[in-house]
This record gives sequence, structure tokens and C-alpha cells, in this order.
Amino acid sequence: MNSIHDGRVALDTNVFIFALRKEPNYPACETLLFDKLNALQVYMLLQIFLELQRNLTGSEMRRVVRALAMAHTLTWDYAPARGDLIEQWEQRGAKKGDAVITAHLEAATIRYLVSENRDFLLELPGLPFTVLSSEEAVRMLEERGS
Amino acid sequence: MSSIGQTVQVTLRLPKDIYERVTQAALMEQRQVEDLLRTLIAEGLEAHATIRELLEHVSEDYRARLAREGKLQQSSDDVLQGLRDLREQIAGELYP
Repeated sequence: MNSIHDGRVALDTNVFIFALRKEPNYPACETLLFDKLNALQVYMLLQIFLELQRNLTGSEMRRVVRALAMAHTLTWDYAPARGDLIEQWEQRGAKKGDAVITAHLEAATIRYLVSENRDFLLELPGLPFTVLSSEEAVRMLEERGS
Repeated sequence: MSSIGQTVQVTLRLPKDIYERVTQAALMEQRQVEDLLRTLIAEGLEAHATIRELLEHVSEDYRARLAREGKLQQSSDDVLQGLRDLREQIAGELYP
């Protein structure tokens, strides 16, 4: 399993927000979410769910959840991240929020995080997953004709 | 002529248990029953929409709300910073 096609993928909050805003600097966020979601095996973790919930109204959130249900597969993970892993990633230089995401993805053995947040790459060497921009994710999907 | 933005008045008969669920949901969301019913009908119509159709509607509502709140013109860097701050805030609440 070495491709975004074959494994579960976490989508960062910024991908959803830029897609819904139709942010001109990140047009691939819209392409990924609006046009490629049905090719993705999406893994949604608690922290990202809560971040989305704080940004969207109840109606907006319900409809985003309905869209997510149309992904190729969808896994909801409401369990908190492991404290020992959070602590470990904080000690390696991650801010607490990024440590939570990293701990969660590590424990669930998620291979890809799609994010426009470059902090992950700058602050954390040796991540247990690959951080892709939306543009890179779309390109990978289109290489296989999704 | 487009009908977007126009409204019509409708009288609706609902089973009592459905009405009670709607009033309960409206109470929890601190909304008017009529406003919630309007949303639920619109959402019901979207049940068979494609992902793009569904998310285009969400995007339209979201952007309109951001415009009302004066946030639509925020730069992408400011949006990213806001999201970073929110991440730290939520992580602090969840894992004190």
C-alpha cells in the first residue's frame, strides 16, 4: 500500500475551509473535496471534527457530514489521542494541537494527511505519515485516472 | 426570471411526533421552528445531490455568512493562522 488510492487519508480542517471558501490561492482544495472525495478512503479524527464544528453552523456541518458519507469509505474516530504519544511529539518540537493530530494518525497508522499547514513539515522531522498539499493529492489521484 | 430569494407561504400538516422532534431540535439550536423547517426541507432536497452539488450549496451559504460577518475577504494566511489558533485552543481544552 503505497498510494493515496490504497489507504486511509486524513483531510485537515484547512482543506475543508479553503474548499468551502473557494479560496483562490488553494483551488485544489475545492477540486479534492468537491470532485475527488468519492475516490478517497477518509479518516476523520476527533480534533478535526471539533475544529470544523467550531467553524460551521449546524446546517453547514450536517451537510458536510452527508458529503463525507459519500467518500469511497469513511471512518469516524471519536476516541481521544493517546496521551503518551502527544507528549512524545511535543517533546520533539510539535505544538500541542499538531502533536494531537500526529499522535492520532500514528496510532491509527494513517499514511497520508492532506493539509495546507506547512508547520507539520517545518517543525516535525520523522513524521509517521506523508503530508500532501491538496494539489499533490489531486495529482496523485489523477495519475490513476480517478 | 429566477425564483431565488423569493418566498411563498405554505401551510403544512405534520404528525405530532415529528413536530415535537422539530421543536425540540429548534430549541437546542436556539432557532425558530419555521427557520429550522425551512433548513430541513432544503437539506432533504439535497439528499440525492452529488457531492459537488451538495457542497456547492454549503459553500454558497458559508460564503454568504462570512460576507455578513465581514470575514470573506480574510487573506488565506489569516485564515490559516486562525485555524492554527483554534487547533491549539481545542487541544488545550481536550488535553489540559
